[in-house]
Amino acid sequence: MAQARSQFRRALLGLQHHPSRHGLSTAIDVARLLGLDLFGLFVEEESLLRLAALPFVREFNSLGGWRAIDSGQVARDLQLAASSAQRLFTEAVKGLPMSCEFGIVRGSMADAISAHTRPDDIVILSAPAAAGEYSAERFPLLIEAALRSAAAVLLIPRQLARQAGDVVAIATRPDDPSIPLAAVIARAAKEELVIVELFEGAAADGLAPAEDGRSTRKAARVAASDPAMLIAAFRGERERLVVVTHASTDATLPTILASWRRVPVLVIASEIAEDEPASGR
Amino acid sequence: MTRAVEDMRAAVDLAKGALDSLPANALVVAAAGATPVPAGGPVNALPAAQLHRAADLSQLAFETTSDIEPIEDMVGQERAAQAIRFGTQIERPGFNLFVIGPPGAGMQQTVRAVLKNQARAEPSPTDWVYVNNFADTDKPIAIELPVGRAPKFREAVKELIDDFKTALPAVFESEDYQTRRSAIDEEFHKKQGEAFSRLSEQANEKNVAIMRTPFGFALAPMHDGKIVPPEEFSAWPEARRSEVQATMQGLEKELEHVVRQLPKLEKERRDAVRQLNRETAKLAVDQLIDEAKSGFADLARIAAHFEAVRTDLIDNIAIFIAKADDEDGEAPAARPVNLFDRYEINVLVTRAEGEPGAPIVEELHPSLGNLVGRIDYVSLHGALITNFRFIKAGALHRANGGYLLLDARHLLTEPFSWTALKRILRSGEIEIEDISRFLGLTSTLSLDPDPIPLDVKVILFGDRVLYFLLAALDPELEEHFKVLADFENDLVRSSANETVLARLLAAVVKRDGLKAFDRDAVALLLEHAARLAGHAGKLTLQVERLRDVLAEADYWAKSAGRAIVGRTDVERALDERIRRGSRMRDRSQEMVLQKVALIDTTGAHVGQINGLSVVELGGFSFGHPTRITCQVRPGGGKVVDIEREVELGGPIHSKGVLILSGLLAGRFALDTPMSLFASLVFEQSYGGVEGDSASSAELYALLSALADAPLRQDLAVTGSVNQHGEVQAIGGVNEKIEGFFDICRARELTGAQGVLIPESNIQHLMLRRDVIDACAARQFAIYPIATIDQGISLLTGLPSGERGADGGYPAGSINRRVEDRLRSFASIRRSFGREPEAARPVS
Repeated sequence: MAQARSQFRRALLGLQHHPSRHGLSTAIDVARLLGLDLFGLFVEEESLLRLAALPFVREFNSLGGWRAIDSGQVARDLQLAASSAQRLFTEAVKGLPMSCEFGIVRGSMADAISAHTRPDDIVILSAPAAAGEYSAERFPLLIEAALRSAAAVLLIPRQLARQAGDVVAIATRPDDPSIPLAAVIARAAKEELVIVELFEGAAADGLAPAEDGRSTRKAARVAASDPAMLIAAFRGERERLVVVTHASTDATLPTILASWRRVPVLVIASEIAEDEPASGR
Repeated sequence: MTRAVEDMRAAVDLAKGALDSLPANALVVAAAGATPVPAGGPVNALPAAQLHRAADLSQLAFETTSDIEPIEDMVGQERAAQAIRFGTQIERPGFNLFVIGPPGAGMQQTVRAVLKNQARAEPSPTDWVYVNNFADTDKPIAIELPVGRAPKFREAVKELIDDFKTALPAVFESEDYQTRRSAIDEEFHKKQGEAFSRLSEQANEKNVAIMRTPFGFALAPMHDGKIVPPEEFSAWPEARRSEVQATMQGLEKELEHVVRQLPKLEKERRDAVRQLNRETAKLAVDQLIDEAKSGFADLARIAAHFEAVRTDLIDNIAIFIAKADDEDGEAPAARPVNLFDRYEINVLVTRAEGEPGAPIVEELHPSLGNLVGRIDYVSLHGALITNFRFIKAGALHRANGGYLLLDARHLLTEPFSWTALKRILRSGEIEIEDISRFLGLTSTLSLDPDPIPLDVKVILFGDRVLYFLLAALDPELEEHFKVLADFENDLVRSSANETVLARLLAAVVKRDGLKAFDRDAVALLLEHAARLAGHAGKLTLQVERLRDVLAEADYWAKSAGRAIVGRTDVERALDERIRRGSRMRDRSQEMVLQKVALIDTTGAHVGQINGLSVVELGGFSFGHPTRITCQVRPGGGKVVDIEREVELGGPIHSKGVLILSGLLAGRFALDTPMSLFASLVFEQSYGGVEGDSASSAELYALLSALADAPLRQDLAVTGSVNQHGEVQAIGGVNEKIEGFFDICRARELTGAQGVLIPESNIQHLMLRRDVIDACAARQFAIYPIATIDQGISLLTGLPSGERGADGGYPAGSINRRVEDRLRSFASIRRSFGREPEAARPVS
């Protein structure tokens, strides 16, 4: 458990029909590093129940082909999926020291995120394994909804490149809040902090050596508006996590980073509330 | 019945079972000494000088054994030594050795010493390893390597595995790999996404949404970008509803097409990833494997194995990299089995540095597994599993290229071991056999490892009885063990050989770290060696038995605070050995002294005599007198052996009794039918009786009964007899004499007491000092008897008598009285035959 604390208190894990183990595992890892409580939130899509009430609606899956569905059937399927997700969550958090809860709500995932998140939350979203699911569940819309909320967002890619490595902060200014947060995570993970600067001028404050002797280094300074150059700046890095602020660049940057670097990307607000110190002991 | 009587019976029963273990050499002597039978003249007691032969160490100048040059070579075993040399040097199939000899002869040590010298000059055998058979894991592959190379091979592969563990994660986490992998995934997702996007756009244009259900996909009507609620949909006009339904039915076909394309796309993606992984793995491992392989360029099979490792690793790289193809799979660290184990090397046999020459392996516990190797199992999630790493070498593997020493009795008492050994010797290959499968104890999958060519000389050790039994019962013995090395029991007792044995004892003293023994102590040990040989003219070669005495004497010397072991210490050791083992002897003697077991040592009785037997219990032997009695009356010419009638007599004993009949029939009243009925019995004998050493005593009892001549009870008798009346050698003569002496001494020696022994047993006499002293003081006597006539004269005080010119025995002689009695029996019988005619009434 990290001794240094961030402004965050809870990790809210959005669970869908088929939550992935590695998404859950990564969420737990981040929660552990930041000393967060964990809350698994399963959303029963209300629109599915409404859909099932239509008399002619059918469901297709590649194994069973087409079949008619009704409200009762969908309700049972959703219940089964919720039970499965809860079992997976319970098994994953067994023995963890932090507080872990599981909840089920009805509505849309986007609405649920809006309704249940707090500023000290990190909403964790795992990319669906298949593009079909990605598209059908309108995952980009979900990300947008999460980013609109007051909470930070952790995007977990479909597959991870590695489970250990440096923690990278992408800073748009010397006092970018991504730097202290990344430093907290790096210290807790006993990894090196790497700063990618997207600004001109004085260097970031976080370049001083950490108290435990772990070094902090500046990786590159790149043009802020070019995601391709930003990704190129990562060449040679072996990071495990990237911390970036909303204002770093365009809204697609976190998704692109997560997809191309195959590492979790933590997106936080560009301003930190004054009564919530970015880091400390 | 009192407990004392029970003890007595037990002792006597044991005695009967142990009667007469006649040494082979005694038989030879007896046969050689079959000179013309002397007449029944007076017999003189043996002088004390003939009762014991003192050691002669005149050829060896020393004060203690420290001054003696030790001798480590085989002593007195020229025949066995030659057989061992021949058996170990001949290189033909089946010429394995079977070494037999008496217990304690030190056969194993001797053979090991011979082999040690021989094996040192022989080439070291090759190493053997088992490796995984990647094509068929149930059949591990055996590979032969030059001596000492197997551990190097194992280390090279171990380093290679360590390198794999470092290099593979590094290369698969590298920027290049991740970029290429991301490109593949993105391309796939792009294709999938485009298909769904097109469909989604097409559907949205028609106010239809694609929705993800828990188990599939569905289409839903939309209005203003939201799913139309059922009630609203119901409120739509029929035409509109039908139109939407028709639109959705059209889109369903598109949706189905897109979804059905997903597995194909996924397969393409997996193929692309697999190819990337193969290329990446090849890049990572090629150089490592080439480097490891370069150290074994001279070994084609090792090079081939490295190639097999390369192929297997590249083909199966997915299981070595974290979550390569299974995003929800377990992380490698959580896997129950180390994935790299499959590449390890199981070094089955190798020779350590500084171990030149052929191996000499002695397997003390030749169970099937210990002999031919075994396959171990480990329990994993409740199931027993195994692989090539769990193949364990057996003694045959370790001895391959050298010598395997086995105890025959141990081998034969282990289930399946003997037959497995023969099978392997015949096939010339060591094939590991799983005993649990023979017995049906396991039904789990097992292995069928490559057999390993056999090149071993097997040397079995056993006693003679075991060898001869095995030779008689198992015809395959001769096929596989063509060379017999038979160790001698003893050595001719010459001054030179006493010197040799003294040097041998000095070697044991030195080797075992004992105190030095002085001259008198060595002399006593040599005399004890003669006693152990059961022959005054022999020295035992059962060195282990002498070694025990040396150790005990050393102990007593130490207890007494002496720096040098002296004669008193050896005497103490011998006495204590007797004392420890003599409880049964003492109880037996006690029974006699308390007249529970009836043995007279004074006076005379008709048809009653003291026979002698030997009891051997746990290596301790003692003599024991037994009363033998005889009753006679007219009859059909039969001598009844009561022991045989009640099935207590063994065949040799019965043979002895039948010889008595033959002797009577051939010696007395030749013109008259044998009309005798006689019964012979070992009194107070409740167990089996075997051996013929009492046959002379039985004959004396029979003659006494027929002649009505009392026999002296202060004498005891031992010796077998033949049909000509010659007394023949028996075994255990010293113990028998001492057994009767102990009884007499306990009752007080009268000066008339003594023992009649076969003349041919004089050479075996190595009596205790107290017996010799008593004989020297004429308190006890040992009489050498060559014929029955000599013996009966001594026992009755009457002449035996020789046939005169008239064909008859002299009046008053024993033989005359016997013949007269037999004629009277015949007469009585004849009169009985006539009686009915005489009684017939006159008409």
